[in-house]
Order: sequence, then structure tokens, then C-alpha cells
Amino acid sequence: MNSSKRLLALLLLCWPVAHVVSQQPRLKRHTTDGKLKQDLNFTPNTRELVFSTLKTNQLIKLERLDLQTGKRTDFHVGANTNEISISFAKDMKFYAYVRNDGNLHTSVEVQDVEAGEKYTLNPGGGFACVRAVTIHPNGREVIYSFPVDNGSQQLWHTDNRLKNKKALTKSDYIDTHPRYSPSGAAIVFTSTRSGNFDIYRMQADGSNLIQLTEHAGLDTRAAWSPDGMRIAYTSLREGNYDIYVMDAFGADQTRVTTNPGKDDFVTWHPNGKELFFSSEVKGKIDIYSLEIPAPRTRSE
Amino acid sequence: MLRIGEFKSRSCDGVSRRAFVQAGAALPLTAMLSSGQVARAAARARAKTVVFVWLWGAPSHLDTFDPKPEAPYNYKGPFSTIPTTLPGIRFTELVPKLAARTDKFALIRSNITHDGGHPGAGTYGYTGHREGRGIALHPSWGSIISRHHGAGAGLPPYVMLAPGIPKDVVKIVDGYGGGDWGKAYDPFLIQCNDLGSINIPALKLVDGVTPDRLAHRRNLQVQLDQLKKTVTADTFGAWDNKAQQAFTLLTNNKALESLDLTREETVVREQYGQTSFGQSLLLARRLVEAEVPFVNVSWSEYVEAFGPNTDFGWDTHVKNFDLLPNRHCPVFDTAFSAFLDDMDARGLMDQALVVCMGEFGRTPRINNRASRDHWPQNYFSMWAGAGVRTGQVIGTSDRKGERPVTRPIEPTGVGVTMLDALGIDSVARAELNVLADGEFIHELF
Repeated sequence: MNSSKRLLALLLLCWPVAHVVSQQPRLKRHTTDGKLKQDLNFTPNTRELVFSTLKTNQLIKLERLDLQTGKRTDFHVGANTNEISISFAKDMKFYAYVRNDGNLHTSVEVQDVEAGEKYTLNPGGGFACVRAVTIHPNGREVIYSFPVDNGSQQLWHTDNRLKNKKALTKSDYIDTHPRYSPSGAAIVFTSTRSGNFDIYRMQADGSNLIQLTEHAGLDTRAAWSPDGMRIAYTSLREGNYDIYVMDAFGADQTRVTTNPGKDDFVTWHPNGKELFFSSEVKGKIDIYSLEIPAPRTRSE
Repeated sequence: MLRIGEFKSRSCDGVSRRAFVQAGAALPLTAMLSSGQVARAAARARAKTVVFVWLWGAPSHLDTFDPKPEAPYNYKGPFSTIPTTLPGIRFTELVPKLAARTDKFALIRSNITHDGGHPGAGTYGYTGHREGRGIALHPSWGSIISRHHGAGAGLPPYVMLAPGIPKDVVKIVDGYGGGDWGKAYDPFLIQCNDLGSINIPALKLVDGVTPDRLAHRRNLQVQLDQLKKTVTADTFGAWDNKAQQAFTLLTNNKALESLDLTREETVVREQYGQTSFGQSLLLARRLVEAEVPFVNVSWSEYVEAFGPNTDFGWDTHVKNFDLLPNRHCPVFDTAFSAFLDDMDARGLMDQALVVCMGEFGRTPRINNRASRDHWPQNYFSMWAGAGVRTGQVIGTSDRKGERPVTRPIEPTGVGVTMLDALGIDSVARAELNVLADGEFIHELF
């Protein structure tokens, strides 16, 4: 083989590697303490990242992270019990979250920011845990997940005073992690209707149910892009928790993280160009972000 | 003369025989074992250490190591199964690292116990016996080993790595320690946080020493130097057993080094994960190297804040299908895999028996909170080291995971097998008047 052929062969051998390397997303790290972080969500107006983090072995607190300064502060100063799954209305006048108020007991809380009022939905006595909550972008409606007596778990709809409760889903399975779309017209959620955790969408009134993922591995915790055109989510389909992105109807399912640790709790930056998520790297769980290419497909 | 008892035992070929021992009634138990007997026990022993990893709260067997994909949906749950390195054996998707390491442990799928509550089943799990008012409180495995082996040069013989004694909202597990033998045989508690910092509550018992963390070694050394000058034999004798153990530990540099995780390579610490459970397992490995006879790593409170001031561990009456994939299983899969790899790579499996289990399993049928409750009729345990024949599954549960269909294994069997690994055979048990019942798990070896 002459030298030019050798060079060509070398280039051909190296090209796929170089191509893959160039496609690797550049991760940016935003925290360094390595403690559990979950339920990431941006405040729509201030663009602060709010998340739950393990402060001690017995306390999970909501924190806000200023991405400009890196400064972290308590979201609820003085909170002394677990608070998870926060969700904001678009104008930030209302937000909802799940609060641990007893042994194996959690409630839904809605904060009316302007009025300074807080509303609580206690799901019942004994061991009773609300799983996850989402608030409509207009701040007037709330959806949360909670079990029913047959061992299933349904999505429930209330107003922002946590009154007028009605079942939004009725199945024999587990429905959880609801998220309103940016317009509030649709909901994406996780369900076991297929036999394992998959991602579904439906209209906000519960109609027009569509299964978006069908892989045997766990798919969960879906998050809408700010323009409603894409959905990011966690999947265990390759044997590791990674972040995937698909279009709003389930097409083009693409893995976007390859870290050997657990990547989870993804949310979109309000700019629609970056994904933020918790990632376990070298044994530490911190918040990372990556930029992803622009969408190609239809919207919500 | 006092007849101490009859004890089931095992010969080398696995056939049971019975040993019968008599001893003088007035003879204190501590004097029963001569140095020669202890030496013979050491010669018989297949291990120098037992590492007892206690998954407090009780993990679901169906959602981890004994999935039932053919069962009805309201039993099998929503997790998919994945192949392991053992042909035909599948785990759920939540423990992929351990599924890839079935060559490093033996799995028992047919454990059973006799109490459906945490403290009661905890006492069964630590002693092989039930707890209750008016009945004898038997010593725990670690306490028996502690009494049999006696104190070492610096480190206590029974170390519990945990935030505290395992407890639920009602009470502690009575059987955690010496029981009717007294607190002298209780575990020596060491707390290890997610950063690997150590706290020894017993230090508070030692006058003049109040360091919360051994990480501040420079300050500690100054205090210790001062303390050594002031502690006389009389002072030492006046302290209780735990304070004496703490002082002995603190004045032994080699023992102190065993507790110092900063001596580990960063990459090793990272592999265990930055969790209290992970770093505690790493500390356990160091205690194996230091030849501490019994090390109990308790999951207790090491997973996720479940509620304010509560200690539920794996007790997923609610949110089972949220917590397991979110936190419990990833933490356990990473930390326990790293521990098995690390122990194996350092050749420590030859000198340690590793046993990992909870106090029971969880209801195969999903409860009305979309979760799982207590299930003492069937659960799992994992075994490695000390000649355990790894890469095998012992016992089979039925198609719904409700009961064993082969080889039910009782807590007493677990205890006998652990004690035997350290050379405490039926004769020694008879001399100590412990574990009259209990069938050695011969399939493990």
C-alpha cells in the first residue's frame, strides 16, 4: 500500500470516530456539592433554576440557583420538612409543590404569591402520599398524581384553591409525573398502561390519549420544551438512566446524554436551547446542562 | 452442672449431627472459652470478618432480585426485567450493575421470617429469635462474635456503621446488641456521612474528648496527647465499656487509620458514590482489612429523607415505584457493586463473609396505595466471600413471589452460617448457649 492509500485508509478509519466525538454534547456543570438533586424546574420570568436537594439524611429542601452568579439560596427560608416537585405558573403568581407533612404522608401546596395565601390539599389520613404536581401555565388549575383503592394511581384535577377535585384519568395502572404543556392545552405524563413505565400525552381535559414511548425500559419524567415542540425525558432503555428528546408526538427519539452515571430530572431552559438535568458523575450528583440542536418537527 | 443445650450442626459433608455440651453452672460465660478453644476456632474459621449489610425497612424482592414477569400486573409491578450473567436468571432493570456481577455473589430467593413488623423482624434478623416482654432477649450475631473473639488491639469487635440503632416510628430493634448479656456486647456505633466524615458517639462518654469528626486529626491529636497524660488505670476502669473502646481506639494510630477515608484514592471513593451508604461500605472494607470480626452496615436513614425525623429506609408503603428507581436502587446498585469489586480486587473475599439482606420482603400484590407492604413469608439475601460458591441462586419462590417452593431459609440458618464462617461451630455455640436451632446453609459452600 503506497503512502497516499495509507493516508486515505487512516482517514477513513478515523472519520467515524472524529464524527462521533464532534457530536458529543458539551456539558456544563452548575453545582459541585454532589448531593442528591431532583425535580428541576425554571422560574419562567427570572430564569432561576429551582430544584429539590438532600440537605441532610432526613431533609430535602427546595433551593434556587442563580445561573449568572452560581449562588444557591433556600427557596422557602426556614422550611423544615421535605418539599419536592415544584411547578410554576407562567406569570409566577402561583406555584405548586408537594410537601411532606408527616410519616409517609405528603400534601399538595399551592402558593398564591401576590395574595400571600397558601392552599393545602391533604389527600387523607394514614400513609398517603401525593406523588407529583403540575400547575397550569395560567395558574388557575392543578393536576397531581395520587393512588386510588384498587392499587392504581390516577391524575387528579383541581382549581388553584385545590378545590373541585375530579379524576382526570381512570385506569388500572399507575399514572404519574404530569406536566402541562407551555400553552396548557396538553399534558404529558408517565403511565404503566403498557405494562411498564412509558410516556403518554393527552389533551388537558383527558381526551385524545396517545402513547409516545413504547420501549420495554423505563421512560419517565417528561418535560416540554418552551415552544411545545419537543419533549425531553429520562429513559433506562439502554441499561443506564439517560436523557432523551423526542418531538411532541413521539417521533425522533434521540439519546442526548451518554454519561455512565444516572442522568435524570431534565428540564428546559426558557431559551429552549439548553437542557438542565441532574447527573451522577464520579459518584457525585450535580446539575449539568447541555445545548441541543434546534427542532425540526411539528408543535403541540 | 448446667446442661446448656442441644445444637444442630453440620459436618463437612453437610450431614447434620447434634452436639451436646455441659458446663459448670457457676462458671462465668466469659471464662468458658480457653485461649486454646479460641485458637482452634480461629483455625476452623473460613473468615476473619463478617460484613452484615442490613437493608433496613425491607426492600421489595419482586422489584429487585426476584422479579415475576409472568405474574399478573398487580403483582409483577411496572419494572422490566433484564438478563444477568447467569443463564435464565433475570433481575429487574433497577439493578443493572449487580445483574452484571452475579459471578461475585450467591443469591438466596427463599428467605423467610416470622414477624411482620420492623422491630420484631429486625430482632429475628439480628438474633434468630423473637423479641417481646417477658421473654429472653438473645444476643445479636455481632455480640456473639464479639464475646467469642474478645476485644482486639484497637478496634472494637462489633462495629455498627449507621446513624443509630435501627428503629421505626414506634421503637428500636431490641435485638441489635448484647440483649440479656448486657450492653458490654452492644455494637460500637460509628456514623459515616456522605462525604466520608466519621462521628463516634461514644467519644462523648470519654471525659476530655469531644471531637465530632476524626477528619480534624490535628486537633484530635492534641486532645489525645493531653488525654493520655490524664487517664489513669482508675479513670479508665471507671468508664463504661463503650467509652473504654472509644479511648482504646483513639489511642491506637493503626486503628484510627482504618477509619480515615481520606487515605483512600479519590477514584475508589467515587466508585462507591457520594452517599452515606456508599461511604459506609467503603469504611466497612477498611474494617475488613483491619480484621474487625463483625461489621454491620445499616441502610437506616441513608437513602432519602422519607419524612421529618423518621427512619423508614426501604419501607416503601407509599411511593415504592417512585423511590426505587429514583433513589434506592441506583444508590444500592452502585455502592454494593463497588464494594464487591473492591473486595474482590484486593483479595479480601478470602477473609470476609459478606451477607446482605433486609428484615423481610414486601407484599407481592400491590397495595391500595400503589406500593407494597410488609411480607415476611419470602425475601432475598446475597452472600459472598469466605468460600461462598458465587454465581448461583439458592431457593425458588412461587410464581407470584409469595412463598418459597424450595429451601425455605430461616434467620437462625443465616446466623448459624455466619457464625460458622468465623469458626463458631455447634460446640462453641453450645458453650455460649446460643442458637440451639438453625440449619447451616450448606448449598452456599
